[in-house]
Amino acid sequence: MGRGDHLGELEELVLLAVLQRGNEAYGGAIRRELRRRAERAPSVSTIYVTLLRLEEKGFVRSRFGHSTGPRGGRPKRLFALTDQGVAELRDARRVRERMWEGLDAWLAPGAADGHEP
Amino acid sequence: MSPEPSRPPRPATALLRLLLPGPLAEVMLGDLEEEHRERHREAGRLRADAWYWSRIFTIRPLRLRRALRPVARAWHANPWSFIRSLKDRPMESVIQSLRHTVRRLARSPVFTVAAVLSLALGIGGNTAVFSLTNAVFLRDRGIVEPERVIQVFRNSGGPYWRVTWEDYRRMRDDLGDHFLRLSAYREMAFRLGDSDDVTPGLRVSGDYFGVMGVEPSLGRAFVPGEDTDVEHRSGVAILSHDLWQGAFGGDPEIVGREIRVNAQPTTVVGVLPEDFTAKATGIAMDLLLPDPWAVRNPGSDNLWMSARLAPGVSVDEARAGLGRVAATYNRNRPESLRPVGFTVVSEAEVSVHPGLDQAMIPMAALLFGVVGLVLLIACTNLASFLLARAADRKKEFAVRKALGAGRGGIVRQLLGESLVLGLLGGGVGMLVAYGALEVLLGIQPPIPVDVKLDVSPDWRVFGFTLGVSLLAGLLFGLFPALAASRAEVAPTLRDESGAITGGRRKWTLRNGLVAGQVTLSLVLLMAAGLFLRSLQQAAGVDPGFDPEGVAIATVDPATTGYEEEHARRLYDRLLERTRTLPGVRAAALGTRIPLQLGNWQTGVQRTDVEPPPGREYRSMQIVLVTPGYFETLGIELRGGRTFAETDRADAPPVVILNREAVRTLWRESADVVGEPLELSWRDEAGRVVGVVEDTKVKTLGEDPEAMIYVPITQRHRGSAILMARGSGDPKALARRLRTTAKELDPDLYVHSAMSAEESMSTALFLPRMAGIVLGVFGGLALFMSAIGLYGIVSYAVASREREMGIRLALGARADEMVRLMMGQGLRVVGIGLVLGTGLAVLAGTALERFLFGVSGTDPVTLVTVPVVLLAVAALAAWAPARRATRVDPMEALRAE
Repeated sequence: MGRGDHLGELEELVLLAVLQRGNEAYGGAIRRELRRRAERAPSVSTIYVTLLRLEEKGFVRSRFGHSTGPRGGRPKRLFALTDQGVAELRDARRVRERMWEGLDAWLAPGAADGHEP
Repeated sequence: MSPEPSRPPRPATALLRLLLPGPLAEVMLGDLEEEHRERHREAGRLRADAWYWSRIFTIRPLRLRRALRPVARAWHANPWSFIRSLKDRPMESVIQSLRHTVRRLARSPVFTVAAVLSLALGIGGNTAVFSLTNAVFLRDRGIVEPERVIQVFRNSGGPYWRVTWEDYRRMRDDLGDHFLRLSAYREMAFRLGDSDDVTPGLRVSGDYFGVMGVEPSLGRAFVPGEDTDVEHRSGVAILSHDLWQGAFGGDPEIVGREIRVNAQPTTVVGVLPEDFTAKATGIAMDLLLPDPWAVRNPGSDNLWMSARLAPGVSVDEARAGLGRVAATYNRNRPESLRPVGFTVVSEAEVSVHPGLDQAMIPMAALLFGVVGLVLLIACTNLASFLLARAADRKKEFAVRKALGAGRGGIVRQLLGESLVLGLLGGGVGMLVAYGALEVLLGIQPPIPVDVKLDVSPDWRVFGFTLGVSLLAGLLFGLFPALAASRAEVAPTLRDESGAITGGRRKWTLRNGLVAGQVTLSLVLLMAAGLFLRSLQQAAGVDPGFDPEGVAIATVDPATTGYEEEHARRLYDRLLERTRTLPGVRAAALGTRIPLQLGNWQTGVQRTDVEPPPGREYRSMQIVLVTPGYFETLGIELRGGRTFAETDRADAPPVVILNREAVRTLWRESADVVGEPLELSWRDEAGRVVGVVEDTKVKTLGEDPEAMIYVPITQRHRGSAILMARGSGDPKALARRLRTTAKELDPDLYVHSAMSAEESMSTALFLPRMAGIVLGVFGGLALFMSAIGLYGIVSYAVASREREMGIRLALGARADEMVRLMMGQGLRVVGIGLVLGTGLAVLAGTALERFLFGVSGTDPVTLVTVPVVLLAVAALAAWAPARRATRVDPMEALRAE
């Protein structure tokens, strides 16, 4: 998780999870999304550290939401991507796709045995 | 919606709230609670709770990160100026010496861990007891300007009796709103929805919210008239914040929603604010409903009363005003009746009930005494270890002194070390305390209502723990620090330990500490022994009835919404069915069985004598029973007859007395069958038809209590205990009683189905708990003392190694040497035993009021416990003493 302008991996995953949850993106929902899709189980505080950092960088914004049943009446903090956040994700994806170009054959099953494609 | 019981452990939530960063705390707690619920569903309560507790450790990084952010910024901006800024700070020396301390503690991890753990046990015990005391006595329940609120009692049975609705009406009419705001209320158990759990609540009359000075946080308060609306029984309720959050998931639309209370449709009109707790007799109440029944029953003294003084009115003026109300009241009453009076107690002075508070204070003192002793033992142990370490570090200190370090510096350093240990112990102790409380509060005391005690830590608990930790640190650190700093420079550096024999060791501080420990553990173990002997004695007491083979189950038609007539029909059918169950030899209904908590008293008087001055009626325990009650429970009939089916509602009133009731009313064992009796609840006199043997009412240790039995057909109560005597397993029979009742009406609220013997065990709740708690603490104390003893003997052996070598070389026998070394340790133990026995006799006498069947100076305990202790001590001394014989004489002498 770098300090600069680049997105760390967890940051990227969290941003994607926020997008996946739409307007129900709060800590608990994001955690479930990460567990389900990315098979990651970061603790609630790790998620908030990441979210706060993303907010400082201007990639997400947040507001307080209403409570629902199983939270013991406690408020939610709902997160959403800013335009800058969306742009950053798009950037990250472009960088990855460029890095992946032409490498599919290397990562096909059996490629690790060392045969030239 | 059905009540949802799964909520994370509250102490953990309270700790987390402190650890989490302020603005995010609630949000994150919400997320954690959601996950707790998920885990609860998937893996069960235990795992979910364990996970939740462990969040305390994983949550830390966020807090730290936030705290360190400004520091990190300064560092990034300019590392050099950051370092320079640190140097100038006065805090620096403190931080530096703290760092030294931590490093030194880390160098001897075994000592540090052992010290922190033993302190944690000692401090944790104190914190747990303090939290309980805090919850019962100190916690603010959220009344606005509580110094303006008073509680009013009627002096009927004692000085602090409940008032009647008639009293309330008179006070309201005479003193009105310009003098007092008044509210009368009584606690009741409600049934919410279809739950088989009881929700404690209040039925209130009058201006409850005005008296408490609070407004509902949602919705409205009761409106005038709702409490006397007998016709329409406006079905409205106000929920506590906890109930709203727990059972209704904090539903923001709760106001206006219809719920079922005691099977009646009821509209929620409001929610109490989070920081206000509605209470009666110290129990937090979750539900408030108006009390339209009170006005229909204006003469029964079953209401508590609180009042708020109007501005400018003092407590004394209120007392005088109430005196005038009582005087007017008494003027219209026959002279033969005792005058009524009212007792006024300031709200701030009442915790549970003025009468009970006085009884609870010695209990709290006893608990504090026990945990205080354990902490003292932990401290003495540490002091003793530190003394030994200080002796080992004598040279280091002498060198430092020689290099110009002041005595103060050395004391400060050592004291810092012990304070850090104390604080670490306090931190872990908090966890120990809340773990223990979680277990302790899980043990349901023998009452049907769930007593909710809010033991979550508040500033008082933190302050107390911090204070105790620092005090402990000072206590065990000061002596060793002073002793070490006294190190003389020259002799120490010259190494005077070169002398061959240690000679007769003088009585050291360490020996004194071990003697003290033995004393204290003896006192604790003696107390535990006395309670265990109490339990043993209790087994031999005749309770006045035969519980074997008897099963019981409580049926509660009132909270299921039955009217009196309907309930009576249910009772009849229930009994009919139960009597035909296979294996049942006798069955009955009654409002109580012997050896249960609970109190329902009534007034009775002879018709042929003037009541003694100052007493209108004799009060005694009343039990409503059906025919077959005495046969089912095996209570012996001493004269006359038991009740029969012919004692119907419309038949002449009849009663049965126990022997103690006969003694109180006639002052002798007269033949009273056929005598008339004036009954406070009826106009017509009742006739005594029988006399039965006394039974134990609440506890085995009590003196006989007067009881009056009344046919259940002639006086009604909304709930009753169904009981049956059978030939088989009573627990299985209890289950069948429950099914039988549920078959008649699946909605019927049935609880406490168990064997009579299980129910009796509640009577032994106190001695059993006391025996367990004291036994655990006493064992702990003994263990710590044994470690202390082991320590001094092995130290003595080590420091006299050369002497041992020479003795061995000169032909001393091994067993003599062991005896020599052990003797030194056991002399210390002997002194402790003598002192401890003396103290234990004093403590035992003080404990006598809690004991049953044994005296505070029970000879069995006085002999057994010291013998056991001596055996453990001998073992602890023997183990290191044996090492003395393994000294190699050559090695020992070569060291010269």
